[in-house]
Amino acid sequence: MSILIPERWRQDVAAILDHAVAGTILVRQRPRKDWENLDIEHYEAGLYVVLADALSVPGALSGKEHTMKEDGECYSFTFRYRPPSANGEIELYTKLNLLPDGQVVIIYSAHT
Amino acid sequence: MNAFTQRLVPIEVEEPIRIPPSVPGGEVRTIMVKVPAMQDPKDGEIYLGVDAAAILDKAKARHMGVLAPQELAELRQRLGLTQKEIAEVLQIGEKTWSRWETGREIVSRSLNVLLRAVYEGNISLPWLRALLNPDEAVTPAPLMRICGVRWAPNAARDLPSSTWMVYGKVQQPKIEAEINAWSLLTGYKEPKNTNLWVDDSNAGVGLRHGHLDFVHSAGNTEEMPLGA
Repeated sequence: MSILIPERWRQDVAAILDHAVAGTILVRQRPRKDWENLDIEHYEAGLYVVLADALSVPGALSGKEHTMKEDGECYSFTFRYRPPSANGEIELYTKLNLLPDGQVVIIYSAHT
Repeated sequence: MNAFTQRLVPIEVEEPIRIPPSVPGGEVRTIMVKVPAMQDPKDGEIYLGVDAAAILDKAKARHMGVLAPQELAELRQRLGLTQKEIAEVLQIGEKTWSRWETGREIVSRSLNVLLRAVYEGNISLPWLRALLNPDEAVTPAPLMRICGVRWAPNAARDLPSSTWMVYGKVQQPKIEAEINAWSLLTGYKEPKNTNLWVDDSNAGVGLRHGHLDFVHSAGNTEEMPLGA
């Protein structure tokens, strides 16, 4: 069931992804490869920027809440994104977890 | 600290990255790059951080022959420009520069040629700025290849103590020897005040609007037009 993603979570996660300080973002190998395979013109750091941008768009953001093995507050959502080599936008699915200290984001998914 | 991050174990992994072809229709290459990673001993899951991403991006850029996002940021900071200012100098949109510097997009190959020349000191900021104001008299060609910059307080008696020392190699065919140069950092920022001082033991060289004044240790001066 779709829910409204809390504004505080959205802002905190967007800020962490935007600043991209060492030790604050952890990407699993699978989403890293999915992102790389999505467009050959992708940089790794581009994933942080694209996700931060998606979370920074004004207005309500709907998604799903998840309970993961790792503690924290985890939501998944989809958003429109135009890869560098593509002619049009695609829909990207992502699942992100903000750990309890509010300082670290885990990226579990980033794929179409 | 999180219980999760505390239990992660540092490891090293080899990650594949795909290198786009340099010409349309060319072959895509895949290379393996060693990066630091963290492993969760509970389930064996491997996580890559910001440091690993930077290494992978730099490797990809190097194999493509383009400047990496970090190198673009370093270049802009070295020139003392904001994202808006460097975009103006390059005559591109601010958002375009931002996309390159943040790694959202790879720098365009055509502009990369120019940026590489600036990064390696073969084209100066005043020269780039001159393209925006063609009527102004400015240095028409790169004079000096900047090889490095270091802090050199009290480096020269006739310069302020807050002086940066620029180590470089003059490009002019008549002067081939490597030289040590002093440049006012503000002079590097302000094209109208371009005043690059060079010293080779007891000799000094100053660059001033299209002419190279070569001052010998004996005190006599030669004026050498650029491009001669």
